[in-house]
Amino acid sequence: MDIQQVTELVLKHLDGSISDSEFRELQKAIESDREARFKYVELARLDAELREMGGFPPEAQLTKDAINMPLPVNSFHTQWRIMRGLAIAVALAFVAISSWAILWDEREADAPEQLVGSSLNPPVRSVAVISAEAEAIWEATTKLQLQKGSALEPGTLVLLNGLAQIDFFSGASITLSGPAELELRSSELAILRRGRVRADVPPAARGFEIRTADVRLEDLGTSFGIEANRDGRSEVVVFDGEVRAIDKHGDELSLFAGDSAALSKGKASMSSSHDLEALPDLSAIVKRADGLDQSRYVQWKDTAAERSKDSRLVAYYDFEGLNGASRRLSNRAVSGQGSELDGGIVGASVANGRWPGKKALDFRGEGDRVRFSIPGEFDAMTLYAWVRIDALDRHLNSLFLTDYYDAGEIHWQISSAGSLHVATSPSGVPIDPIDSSKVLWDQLGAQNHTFWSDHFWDASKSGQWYFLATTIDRLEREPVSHYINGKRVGFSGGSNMEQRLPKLRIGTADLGNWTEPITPESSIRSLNGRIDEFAIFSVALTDTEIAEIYEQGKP
Amino acid sequence: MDETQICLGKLFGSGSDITPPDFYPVSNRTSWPLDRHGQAANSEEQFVQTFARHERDLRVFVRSMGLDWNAVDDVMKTVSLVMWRKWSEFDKSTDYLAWARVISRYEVLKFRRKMARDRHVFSEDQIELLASSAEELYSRFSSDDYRVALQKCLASLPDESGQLVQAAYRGDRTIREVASELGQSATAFYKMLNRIRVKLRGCIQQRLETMQ
Repeated sequence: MDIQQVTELVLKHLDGSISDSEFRELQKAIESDREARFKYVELARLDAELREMGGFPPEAQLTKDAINMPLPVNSFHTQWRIMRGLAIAVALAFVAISSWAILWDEREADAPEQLVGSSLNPPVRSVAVISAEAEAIWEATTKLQLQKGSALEPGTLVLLNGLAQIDFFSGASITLSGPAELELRSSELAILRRGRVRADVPPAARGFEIRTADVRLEDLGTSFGIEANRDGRSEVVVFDGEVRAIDKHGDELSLFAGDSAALSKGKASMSSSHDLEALPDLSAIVKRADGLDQSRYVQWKDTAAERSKDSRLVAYYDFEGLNGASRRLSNRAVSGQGSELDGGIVGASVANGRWPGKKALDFRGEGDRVRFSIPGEFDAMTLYAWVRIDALDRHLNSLFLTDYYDAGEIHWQISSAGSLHVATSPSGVPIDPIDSSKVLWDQLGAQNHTFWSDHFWDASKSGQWYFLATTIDRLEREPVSHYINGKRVGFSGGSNMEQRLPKLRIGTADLGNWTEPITPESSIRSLNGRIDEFAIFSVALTDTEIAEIYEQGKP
Repeated sequence: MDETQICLGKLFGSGSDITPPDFYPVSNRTSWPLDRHGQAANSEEQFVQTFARHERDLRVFVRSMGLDWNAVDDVMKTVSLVMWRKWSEFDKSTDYLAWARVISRYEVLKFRRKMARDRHVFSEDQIELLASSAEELYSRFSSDDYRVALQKCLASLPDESGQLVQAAYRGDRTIREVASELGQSATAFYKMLNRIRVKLRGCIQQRLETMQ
């Protein structure tokens, strides 16, 4: 048994998920192989130390009650379902929590961390970005000016007045209504000390959590809102979706559409009052009339509506109906999984697309991306996107990259030299069995399937819209074709181009970025440009079909 | 609450069904065991402090013999009691951890006999082999060094990997629950978690060896 297999068995045993036959194999290895014993002991040490620190490095444990609240142990004992409350058919949830006074006291002893923000170079540690503002006035906590586009590191934000929309890198987006004070902890966790928040959490960011001193609110994939008041009284109203509130005693309260509950003194309980005033909707403020009389745009709209009915689509994003406050990129494919495949817009701002009035997303900052979670395995696939490339500043520039690069996952990107590129690896990224921190690049290179198109772009093309498409059919002898503006192009290079490709997979992935790079050195692949249409098919479209889509959509 | 109480709360598992043993003196100080210098003062405090300082190391050690966490908790309760009983015999000038490991090892073997029918528990020989490996390895790199390396390695993880580790080890939910909350299958979640753990192990090893 090689050491990689041993590692796998050890981890299974530590996690309690080993089978009887696997356990017998592990026992044999422990008895006969000193290396296997060391492996066991090392991984057990790691597992135990991680558990002892609760998954957090010790610094992160020096926190307030809000963070270290007891977690539910026997939730089934205490979980109760609030009766359906008021039928308020608004796609918004409000949860009001009073905790201001308690939190204020805590703050005395534990001053909030300083916030570091910068609009020029998003720092690597940033967890969110300010994506829109309306009359926002920030308290000058740092010398840095907070404004639209500012990347936010973990720390405290004080909004004195107005509204601000903050996109977390997890894909969750919130609108903060001043006066408010919010501490960002990570891309999946924020602590509300005062004020009101509305959150939109796409499926890919499920589990996003907002806490106060009294309650943790976990979003189970919906929109919801929170208010933290000074008056000591608090309330929960959920209009849509499901939110789980966990109080100080670890008791859980599942809140569904129409439910309302009071939250005070660390205890959540059912309530019928709900006198929250509506949170001003940033989208209404940001929204502005867009003139649209161009016949090409109207024509394209017709064909896009028609295309959305194509049953071969896995997902289809027309980027229509976006405004400055949109944080969700809707999947328009009629068949398939519908809104489950909606993307979460992170950072990327809404801009004009191919025609005035046509919406696009502008990818500029290192954090900008659209987050997707697309399950399934595919024998064939077509990816196409309308892209305006402003510059190719990275060695590789993301169009659509799956997290990391596991077996069968596809990477679709553009090289700095202007070549369209698709790649997949039959067994993911091989790791050195002796030093597991090392990637075996040679081995990856030997098995990797890569396809580089002829060069189509240089700086003189900056700002032009391109129709980029790649078809893959793993059962074909020549599995991949690249298309630029509807025309099939040749290859400038590649590897294992005629070997049978693995089953293709996507999973969690980014449009315009790369979330879990293989190594830090290769990490930055953010796109500099715009995208205003993106489709994934589960078949390889023909040359004719690709040409037709180009004709229908060319600016 | 003073430090003593906090530590004992942990020792005996506050809120559990374990009652503090009757030999544990609360008010009658004269019944305390004397240390080898005949000094009774602070013996209890010394014990609690020393135990608290090393409890985590011992838990790691016990875990390394292949016990699941419930078993680790049970064994640790017995270990603390046995150590308290033998505290007067312990020569304070010698290595506490070595002494504590001998006791822990013995208690794990005793415990094993009780739970021999449980699935996926190593045999006595295998436990002995693992204990020896653990002693060898753990004495090579101190737990302080190890924790520093672990922290650095955790910090070097991409945000999402770090969050995944946190989710998995926050301790309030099963892996399956965490996975489903993240909208993933348990298999996919394990795969990611395993990749990160393997990465962490390599990173820590590298750091420890370069520290030397």
